Amino acid sequence: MHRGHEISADTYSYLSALREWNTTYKVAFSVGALVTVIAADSVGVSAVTLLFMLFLSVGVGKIPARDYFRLMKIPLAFILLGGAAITAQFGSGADSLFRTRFFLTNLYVTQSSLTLGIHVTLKAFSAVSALYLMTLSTPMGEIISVFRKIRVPVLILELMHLIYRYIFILSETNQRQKDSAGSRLGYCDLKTSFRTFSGELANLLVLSMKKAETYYDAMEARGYEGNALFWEETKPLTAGQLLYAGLYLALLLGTFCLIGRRG
Amino acid sequence: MTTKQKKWIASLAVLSVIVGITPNAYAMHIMEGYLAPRYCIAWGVLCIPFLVTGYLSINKKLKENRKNITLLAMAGAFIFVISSLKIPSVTGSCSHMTGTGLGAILFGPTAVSILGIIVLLFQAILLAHGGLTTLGANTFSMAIAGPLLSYGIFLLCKKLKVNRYVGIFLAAFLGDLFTYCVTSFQLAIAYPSAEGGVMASVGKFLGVFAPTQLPLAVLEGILTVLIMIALKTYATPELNMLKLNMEEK
Repeated sequence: MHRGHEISADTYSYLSALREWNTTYKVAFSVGALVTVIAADSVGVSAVTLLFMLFLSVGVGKIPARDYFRLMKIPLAFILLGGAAITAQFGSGADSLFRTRFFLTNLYVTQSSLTLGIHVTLKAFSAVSALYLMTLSTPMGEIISVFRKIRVPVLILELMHLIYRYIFILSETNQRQKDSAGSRLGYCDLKTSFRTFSGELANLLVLSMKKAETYYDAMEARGYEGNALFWEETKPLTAGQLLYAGLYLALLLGTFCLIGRRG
Repeated sequence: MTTKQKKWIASLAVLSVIVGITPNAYAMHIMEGYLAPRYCIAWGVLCIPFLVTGYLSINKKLKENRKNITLLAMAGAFIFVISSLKIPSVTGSCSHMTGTGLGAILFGPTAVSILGIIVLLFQAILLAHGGLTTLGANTFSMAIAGPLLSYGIFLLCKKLKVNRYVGIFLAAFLGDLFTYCVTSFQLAIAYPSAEGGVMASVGKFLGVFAPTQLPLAVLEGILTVLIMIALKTYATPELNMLKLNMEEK
């Protein structure tokens, strides 16, 4: 059966060679790098992080490079548009690199706005790559276990576990709805497509409400009394894993030294 | 070529580039790494009162009837799924609904704030839309501001005895637009223009995202109405159940 590529991060998280890494360590590493990138706000740190995360996810984690770059393209539209809005300026436009009349005002690009635009774009890609270190190697259940460790209320954790499972059930149901509607020419033209699409969603809501009741009964039949317990694997933290964080820190330190000497 | 022609060609080129590079227009999630730490924290803190209210109301609903847990989880999954579906469109580009209006009308704005933050977290982790550091800002615009406005307009239209479906359209349409304005504002105060400051920057971000977001808001309104019509026709008992369980008391 053909599946949407939408949930592919989840698939990779089960395939990645980094899956055996200690979960808390992995999440801390990824979030730490993320915070470093946005707090340092420097081109050097962004570039180092981007390359190091590529090395970790593709080199060590064995995510196919083509898939990795395809995933990096997801935020492309937002990053490019946002970058354009930051780079382009309106107004009188004194000492600009490029200037053109734009309706009643001028559209122009200055040296500093161009630098800022490129800088922000690089920073965003770098942050996304740090996020991917976690999402492409850690299944959702394990990420939720980290939330439990930082004392997120049990009710929220339970909702997260259930929502995560139901997402797959609902999107599979919707895929079947789409296939059957498509085979009955439900998407032959735009007007019909709209009717089919909204009908599908309305029907999906009805189905999901029905399922919700069935699932509650199923949970109760298995002894659910208002507190769902989920199994968590314990994964040991090894010296080999720590080595990578050490390497990253050393690279960062090196970058800071270089920046310090130049500044 | 006259200057006027040149100007037109330049504007057309800008427009076609903007329209051309958005083959996958999601709702406006601020990407990971786009906001400086102080904005991440500020927007997160701003969400807290709403989230606490949401948490307490969900907790109360569960105390009343434990069965609501699966119902709430299904509602969350439903919001995630509708926001990840491609809307049929003429141009072949794929856009997605935000689902904020529909969610607020069906499940009520307080439940949507908690479900919204979970859905946004999942979108960041599973789909790479939005991010962990920008979660606060995105939650504020998409799970709090948008749904609250949608729900307010929905109630207002009900009170003013506006046609039910016109009310639903307005709620979804304006909720979507409002989300987009809030996001543009969030981006603008993080990146003010050199000339004209924050307000000029708001204009820029609104302008850049307008070609994708304006049609999307209209589509969202129309689709929400169609979905509500279908629900009214086929699923009145389920709608009543939702009202009983979820709506604010």
